[in-house]
Amino acid sequence: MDDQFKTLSMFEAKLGKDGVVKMLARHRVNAEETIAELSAMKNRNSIDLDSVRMSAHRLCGGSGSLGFKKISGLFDKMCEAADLADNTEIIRLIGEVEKENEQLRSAIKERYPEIE
Amino acid sequence: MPILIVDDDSTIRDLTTMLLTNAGFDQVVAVESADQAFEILGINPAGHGRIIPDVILMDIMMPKIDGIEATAHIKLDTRFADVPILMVTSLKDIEHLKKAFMAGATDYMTKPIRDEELLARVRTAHRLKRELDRRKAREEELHAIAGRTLPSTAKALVPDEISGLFDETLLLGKLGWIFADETRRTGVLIVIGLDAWDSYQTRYGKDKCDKVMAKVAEALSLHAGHLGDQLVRLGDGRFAVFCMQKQAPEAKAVGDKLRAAISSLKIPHAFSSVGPLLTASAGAAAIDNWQGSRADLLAETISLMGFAESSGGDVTFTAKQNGK
Repeated sequence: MDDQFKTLSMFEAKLGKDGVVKMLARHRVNAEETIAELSAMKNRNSIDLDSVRMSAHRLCGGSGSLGFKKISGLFDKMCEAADLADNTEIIRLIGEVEKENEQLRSAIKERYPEIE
Repeated sequence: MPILIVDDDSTIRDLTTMLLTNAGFDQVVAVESADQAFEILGINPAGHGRIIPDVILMDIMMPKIDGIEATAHIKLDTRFADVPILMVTSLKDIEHLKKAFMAGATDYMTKPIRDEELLARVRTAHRLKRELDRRKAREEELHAIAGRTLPSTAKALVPDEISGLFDETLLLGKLGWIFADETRRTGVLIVIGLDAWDSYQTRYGKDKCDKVMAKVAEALSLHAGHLGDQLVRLGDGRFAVFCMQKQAPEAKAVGDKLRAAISSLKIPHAFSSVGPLLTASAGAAAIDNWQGSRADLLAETISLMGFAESSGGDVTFTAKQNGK
């Protein structure tokens, strides 16, 4: 079993697949929207530190709680970079998040085809 | 058993709600902001509210009004003074957590959410709330029989404008929690009184006194900054600090340390019989073997401080030193 879905599998066994799929679908919509906002900041080369900190903090907790450790770790580092006002590092991390999100999107699509 | 979840992250709200509902908690309400929490609790706009929760799970980092401010605001309302608030945060938010505990938070858990931890914390909080309600009812019954009134149960929790600290209601709530949980029944209560404060007020005037109170509150905050510590003002130049991680043998040392924090401010007091600078006396009591009520513990510690001051001041008295 793919390690990044271990937590979701556990939740499925405990809470049922329907509820988990709904929760994951909602999480993905929010994550995609937020990552798009971060990407827009990167492309404009205009970083709003408060907004980055808040978004990264939220996605770190949410994705970490679903077991997506890698992307959660990137958001955690992004929070730190925002605290240090390190815009260069934030831009680099947004790039990393975009790549990881691509992979995660494909993996989720494969495992949960019912999620658009 | 109503539970209120306040978190701006829909994933955390969804997951926590599902886990708690699945575990048998029948009324779980999740909102995404402090404003929505105030509304549902009937705090703002003021009213009856739609829920009196047994437990509140509060995210620390939220836009507009964060979890610390929200906790302080909820604790301003006496209806929720004894409702446990569990802060939900990342491990890196330790500094924020200290502030959250000062604002009245009861416990905390870290993200990512782990179901075993979530359920254990919520169940413990719920059990303690029930136990606290039971003891509170019993305390009120006993005080009614004795013809006494419990201190400040009818007062609203309002932070003092000068010191920014809450009054003893918050401390009594905290002690209630500690008393109700046998596994956590350790800690030291210190009451600090500024020596010759009456004459300072008379000779130096209100403005000067306000500035001194603000400075003293800040100094004590810095020295009572461990997780779970609670600093409150008692009025008349007195403060109380509950140090959750300290034990009986450390009581005097903690009192001395807090007094030293005040002495180190080097505030002149030309009208004190103790010395040329402002000093403080302290009463210190450990709760480990305390058999009475929390209100009696506070009263006893205030007495010890009074004995310390009348013995010449600038000293810490513990129960042992007072011959008890």
